[in-house]
Amino acid sequence: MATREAGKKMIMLKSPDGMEFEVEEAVAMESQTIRKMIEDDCADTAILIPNINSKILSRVIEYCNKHVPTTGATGAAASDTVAPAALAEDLKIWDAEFIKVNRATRFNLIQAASYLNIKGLLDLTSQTTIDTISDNSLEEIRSFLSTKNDYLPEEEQTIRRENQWAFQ
Amino acid sequence: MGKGNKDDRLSALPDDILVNILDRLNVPEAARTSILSRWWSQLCAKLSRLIINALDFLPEVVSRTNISVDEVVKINAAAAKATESVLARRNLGEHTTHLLSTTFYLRGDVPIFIGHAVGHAMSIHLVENVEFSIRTGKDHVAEIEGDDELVTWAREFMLFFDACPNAFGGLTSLDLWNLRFGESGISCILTTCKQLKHLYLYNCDSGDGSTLQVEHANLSVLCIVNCCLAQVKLNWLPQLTQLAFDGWIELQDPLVLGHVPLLRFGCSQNVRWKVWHLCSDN
Repeated sequence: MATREAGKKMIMLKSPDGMEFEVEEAVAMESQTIRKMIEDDCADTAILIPNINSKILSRVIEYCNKHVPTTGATGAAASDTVAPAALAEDLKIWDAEFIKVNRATRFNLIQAASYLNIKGLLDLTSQTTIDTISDNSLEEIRSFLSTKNDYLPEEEQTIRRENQWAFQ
Repeated sequence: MGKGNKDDRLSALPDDILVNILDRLNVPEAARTSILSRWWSQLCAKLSRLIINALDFLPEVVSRTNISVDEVVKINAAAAKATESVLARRNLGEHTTHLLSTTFYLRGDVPIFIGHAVGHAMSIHLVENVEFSIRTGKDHVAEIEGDDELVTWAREFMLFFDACPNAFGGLTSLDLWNLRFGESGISCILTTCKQLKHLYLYNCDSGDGSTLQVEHANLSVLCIVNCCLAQVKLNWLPQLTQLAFDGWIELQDPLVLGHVPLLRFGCSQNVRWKVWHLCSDN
């Protein structure tokens, strides 16, 4: 991890369970929600992030730290020598590791990404659900997503008939 | 509202987040989820992006290149049915559909069927933005057997166009492939499609070496690919911000710029920048 350089503006993020995280402003601004607060001058010394506990918030910060562009004015040395394609590949591998979490954590991350408006993180965390739906049979999806079929047999018949075109 | 059993954590997410996630599915995938449970069915009716592509109905084992005539008819019919079905289930004023995008083939009465369904949805303000991508089944210029084929497709297209003024009147994006129009065909389209913001022309012209003249109040993106045009005259395009060319035949002064105040750059493979600047001085 890059060492913090003097002069970089820091922001304090607070989770509702009382934990405080000091992050670079650029990292925090990966969140469009926080960016707006900062740009509108609504951000004092600390920003309280409601509904996101410290465990999830620390993961979100970890994600933003990794994804913050390193080609800024001060520029991290690493990005000068690594080709963009290699950097993107590295990020992809990192993302794949990052998302190896249990379902509850993943859904908490989805909510956090949505509230904080971090598109990349929302895309990443949503993809598993999308893949589950795209790649499996109805019975498998029901089992993976713990969904109970609550249709009456004749209702299911009707809805299947209406959506016949989706099963050809 | 039944939210499934307690372990179903996905259903614990707020609806707006779920809709954002499920908007990434294509329409057949989304429709299949409506059979999972009542809760899923309700969620499906709230999606804001409806992407219907005839190719998504192709069985996985069939290659996407070289689709047989029978296969095209089948997937085209499925795309028509899907369009009708998803639009019929949208409730007026309940959930806005931001985008309806349909890709289909000029075959039989399918285009007109889709055109009427979409035109009706537009007239009662069910959808905000509508994209048509209209294919002929030939994806590359090299597959076209002769100019007659282009003329036949264009005639087929104009029948569809004339039959669906409501749909074309509200279209925001139009992709056209392999059409050789009569003299007034393209300007007719531009006149009717008043809301058009994006126009993509692949191998479309009004005759070999013809001139394309463009005037439109709303068009912001124009792409011209592999079109046998001698000249493109951008006469009056106050909103045009992007222009893209590819596969241009090398001719003199191919581009004439009229009123295009927002056009900042063009990317072209073989139209020289020199020509560009000469014209813009006019």
